This record gives sequence, C-alpha cells and structure tokens, in this order.
Amino acid sequence: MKTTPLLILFTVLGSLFLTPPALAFCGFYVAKADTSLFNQSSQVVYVRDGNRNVVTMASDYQGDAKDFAMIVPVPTVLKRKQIHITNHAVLKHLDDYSAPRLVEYHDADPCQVAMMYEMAPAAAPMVKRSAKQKAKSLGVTIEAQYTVGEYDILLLSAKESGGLISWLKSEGYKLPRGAEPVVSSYLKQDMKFFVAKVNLKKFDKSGYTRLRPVQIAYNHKKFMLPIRLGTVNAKGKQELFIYALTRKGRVETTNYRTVKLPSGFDIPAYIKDKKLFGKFYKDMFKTQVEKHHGKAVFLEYAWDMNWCDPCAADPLSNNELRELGVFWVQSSPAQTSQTTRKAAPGTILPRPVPARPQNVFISRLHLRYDRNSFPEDLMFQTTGDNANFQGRYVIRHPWTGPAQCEAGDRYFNEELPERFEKEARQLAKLTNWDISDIRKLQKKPGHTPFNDDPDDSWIDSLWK
Amino acid sequence: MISLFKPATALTLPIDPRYYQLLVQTGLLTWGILFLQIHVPATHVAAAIIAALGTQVAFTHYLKLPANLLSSMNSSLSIILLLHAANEYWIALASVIAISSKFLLRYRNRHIFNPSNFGIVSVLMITPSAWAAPGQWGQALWITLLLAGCGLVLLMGVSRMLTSLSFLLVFSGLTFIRAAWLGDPLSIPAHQLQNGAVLIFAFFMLSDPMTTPNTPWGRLIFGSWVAILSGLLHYAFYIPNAFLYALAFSMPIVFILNHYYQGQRYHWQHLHPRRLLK
Repeated sequence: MKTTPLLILFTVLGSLFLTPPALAFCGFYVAKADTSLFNQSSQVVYVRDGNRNVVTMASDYQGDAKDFAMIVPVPTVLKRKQIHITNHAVLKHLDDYSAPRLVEYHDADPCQVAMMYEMAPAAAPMVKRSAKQKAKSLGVTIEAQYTVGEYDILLLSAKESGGLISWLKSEGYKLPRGAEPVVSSYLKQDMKFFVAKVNLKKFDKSGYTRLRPVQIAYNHKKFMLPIRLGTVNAKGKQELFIYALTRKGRVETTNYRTVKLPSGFDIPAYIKDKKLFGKFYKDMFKTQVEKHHGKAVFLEYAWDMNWCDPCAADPLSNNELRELGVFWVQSSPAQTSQTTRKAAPGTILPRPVPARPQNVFISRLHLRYDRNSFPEDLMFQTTGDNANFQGRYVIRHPWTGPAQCEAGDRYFNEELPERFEKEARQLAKLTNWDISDIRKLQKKPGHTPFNDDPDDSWIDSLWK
Repeated sequence: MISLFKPATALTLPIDPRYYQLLVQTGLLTWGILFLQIHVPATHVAAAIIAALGTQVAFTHYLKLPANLLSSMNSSLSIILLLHAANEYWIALASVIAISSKFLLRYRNRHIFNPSNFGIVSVLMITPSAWAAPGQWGQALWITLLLAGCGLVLLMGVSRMLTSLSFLLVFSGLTFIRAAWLGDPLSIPAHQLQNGAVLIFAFFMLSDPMTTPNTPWGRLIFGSWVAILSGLLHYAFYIPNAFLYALAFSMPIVFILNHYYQGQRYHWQHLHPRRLLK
C-alpha cells in the first residue's frame, strides 16, 4: 500500500460563504471571512491550562483517503484514552465565531439633529509481527498502536532517526527528502512520533466523506507546536490557524512577534455589495505579511468566549467547548443549540444570552510560514491580557433620502466625498489594490453632487 | 585577555553611562511602539515612572540622601520595555518593588538585587495578570541592539561590561552547541540569538555595575553562570523569559564571588552629557 504522509498539514479548501445578517450591538454583522479562503491551510485548536494540553488537528484533506497519513512529534507516548476523533462542525463553528467580520451602518438623515454611529474501543492489532520485529531491528519501538475512529494510529520512539525513517519507508510511508535531520532533532529532544493513517474499512463503514480532526490530550510543560516537519519540502508558504483556548488570557508566541491584524477601518460599501469581503481579507492578510517581512504571527481575534459583539456566529456551547478539550467547563445536557443560529434575511436575531461564565478565552492566531521565515517551532505563552480584540471592518451606507437643508448640502458636497476618498485610500493601503480601480467601483449616491468629470481621470492617479 | 582587565576607566568617555542608557531605552520604546506594534499604554509609562521616582524620592528623603533620580529612570524604563500587565497597578508595583529593594534588601552595604529585574520577576511571580513578552522585539533589531550594546561597552569599559559579554558569549555557545548536537540548521540558533529581548536583557539589565561582582573575574564567572542557568531553564524546563528568572535567582552568588575576588565597588560618575559639548 502506498501512503503519502501529509506532514502536519491540513488543507482547508472551500468557498466563501455569507450568512444572513445577524444583529450586533454596533452595526449589523454582514459577512465573515473564514479559513476556507486559504489554500494549503491547517487548523489547530490548542487548549492549554497549566501543564495540560489538548490539541485538535484538523484536516480538509481532499485526496484519496488511502493516501493520507500524518506524522506529528508528540512529547509523550499517548494512551488510547488520550486520543480522540472529533467532527468538523465544531471546528467550523469555532472558525465562524472568530473570523474577521464585516459590519455595516446606515447613515441617518443628515437633517436630523443627532446622529450616532456607535451606541454606545479496544486497540486493534494493526502491525504484523514481522513488522514489529523489523522495527526492533531498526531501533524503532512501537510504543502503542490503536484504531481510533477511521484512523490507525502508531506511537513510535526510536534510537536514531535513520532507523525510524527506514522503517516508515518500508511500511509504505513516503517521507520527503530532508526529513531525517528534523526527525533526528525531535528524537533527541525526547519526542515520540504520532503516526496516523486511514483504516479504509472503518472509513468506508463510517459513511464520512471527509477525514475527521484528530485530538490528543497530554500533560507536558512544553507549550509549543511542531511546524518544522511540514516545512521540509513544502511547495511555497503554508497557512496555519491556531485557536488557543485558555482559562483567561491571550496566547502569544514567545519566539516570534505576535501582532494584531489591522482592524476597525471604514471600507467602501461595494465590498459587501460585490461580495468581495473574502478577497479583501485575503489581500489584506497578504499585505500585512509582506509589511512584516513574513515574520509575524497575526492575532485575528481575542475574546472571552462567553459572548461576542458583533457576532459572526454564536459563541460555542459548553458541550462544543468540551468536545474541543476545554475540560474545565461543565457539559450541559439541557443545551439544545449546538449549531450557529441563522436569522432570515431582514429579521433581527437577538444577541445570545450567556449561560454562565465559562472562563474560556480564545486567541485566534494566523500565520503564513515556510522554512526561511519560521525556522523554529512555535513556542507559546499565556499572557494576563484579557482585552478583547477582533478583526472588524466597517461599511457605512450613505443617506439616500432627500436632505433639503444646509447640513444636507454639507453632507453631500463635503462630508461624503471626503469620506469616500478616505475609504478608498484606506482600502488601497490595506490591500494594495489599485486606488483608481477602487474609486471606479465606489457607488456614488444617486443624487450626490460630486459629478465625475470625464476629463479629470488623470488626477486619480496623480497623488495616489 | 589580560588587556580586558584594565581598570574600567581606561576606555570610558566622560559621560555618565546612565544618560546613554536612557537614550537607548527611550529610542527602543519609541521604535517598538511606532514600528513593532508593541502596545504600551501611556498610563503604564506614567505609572512606571511616577512610582519609581516617587519611591526613590521617598526613600532618599527619609534617609537624607541625594535623590539620584537617573538610576530610577533607567529602572522604570527597563520595566516598561520588558513588563506588560493587564493594568497599570502591576506596572507601578514592579517599580515600587524595584526601587524599594535598593533600600530594603541590602547586605554588606550594597543592594542584593538588580532593581528592575527584581521588580519584574516579583510581579511575574505574584500575578498571572503580568507577563513579559520575549517575542515582541522580533529578530530584525539585533544588529541595532548589538551596536547600541557596543556603545555601552565603549562608555562603561570592557571590564565593567564583562557580565554582559560573558553572558552573551556563553549563551550563544550553549545555543550553538545544542543546535549542533540536535543537528539543527544554523538558522535555528541564529534565530534564537537574534531575539531582541535577549540582547536588551544582556546589555541593558545585566550590565548594572551596582549589582554585578566587583572584580573582572567575578563578573566573568557571574555572566557565564547566568547564561548557563538561563539555558537550562529555557531549553530543559521550557520556561519563557528564563533569563529574567536566572538573573534574579543568581544574585546571592555575587556576594560569594565578591568574597573570593575582592575589588573596588563601582560608583556612578555623575557626569552630565553637557560635558561632551564642552
């Protein structure tokens, strides 16, 4: 059997999706930009409290299940009970909840006095005896083997990397060239290897069409994610989303800079109308990566998981949090809603009522990495910072009604043109898009007095 | 080697190094806020400075000593550069602990702890609401920091800076040896050593001449020891900010080293930068 290891890489592919509007305290939430926008991306949920770690590794592997395998360095040999398989839905919910969001406001009648924008099982024997003997002869120890869900899992330790690689190759795993020194480095750091491949019988029986995320739980001081194996022969940069869940406090990297994604900017309304928010997010992220020379980890969301404002999706239920490994919350059998509420277009969805304080703080980190920009594994720490942060972008629809007053004239002749220009410049700066294209796409209100002079197009590019 | 052990004054310029330190610290803070997105609220800056100067004035007034605010400014800026907290009270507390330790925790007529280090480590151990962010400086600043550190070496003299220099040398050695043993590419130890926080610590905290040993040999041994302990805590026990803890817990060793290697205590020269213009 030929198996191609997918080294800690979990590809999330899909299409941009827009949910119906949901009510939010400041503005209406209209769109989010989820992880499905990025090719070659992986998602990891890292629950950390003291020395307790629960790591969920999600894959949207699109290839043939028989070709899937993953090899993850782990600090300890894991028992059967320390391995679990979860479902994609809960990760999707977490992604939706924490994704950068677009909100919109509608300008009030400028002739009105006040205008307020912001109110306020048993292990299955898998490896044949001959393979075990061969492993032994190569200095490889099969510490444990389990079948969990649709995966056959091996926990391997080895005296030296050459033996381990020879054994893996003889078992049909294709390791990329250059993997040996990295494997050797992990072995010397006393790490074991968690190897999972698909048990085709179980997978076919399960009826699942996608491979489900694998979870591991263990005690260890190390608060880190091994990314090096995945960079050995990767083509181009990879995308990684880390959702770190702690009792309280934001998580940041200690060996790379963690910076906040630019947020809170007003952008032109056509971003919503033309369903360009996904492209906006992708291009803004790319621009930010370049600005920081490819060497920063971006914080996209930091929030107490009891609530959200505006909500891109409802907060996760206690049951969902427990499913992700948040062991300190109590499961609540009475909870019925496990899925994101969706409001019909034009209706208003009330803000979620928090059940009770959950003491769960989420940090959504996003990085684009390769061997050169991120040579080391990611090391983390939990900080005492529990300030909320979100990637939030605002569109403000101009007033389109009649406004026969002095304030109305000023609104249409001065304020709106200035605002449009500011939004265009802001968008160009954030995304590196051509400002003249942005200006062309900006929708002018029907009776706006700033008429386009066909002869002034040369001015558009003069000071851009 | 012997030439390194000339009296400290041999290489010094006629300026109090604390002014230089203040300049570098202010420059770093400004750079960090403007270009590295380091979030330092104005209230934290104010809290650190007011608490440090206030504590200094209170103690010196009570003890009828000259105010000597310059060192307190250096300490408060060190705290601002390295310590973050959920609110400014923890920053102020770090400043108060730092300055108070100079007057209250004394042995043989000298203070035991590096003031800003003691303030930062105390607050880190008292509350999870405070944290140091070793990743925040990134790797791009290392050449600038190395040059800034060399400036301090020029002002203080190689001999006085032996703690910093031996720390950097031994810590670098350990990091490279570890990488060689693991078979890691050179980019990994280089990345670890280019971390701005390590260089800021080495040049602008560890260099404090008031709390490092009195003799060059003492400083050489002390800097090396702090490097070994930092490496151990960082690489074997996975403790973030290991060098801060390593220094705090190593301070008693200074007295042992001073006992075996007796030398002249350091005194700040109290020279104003105007001297340079004359």
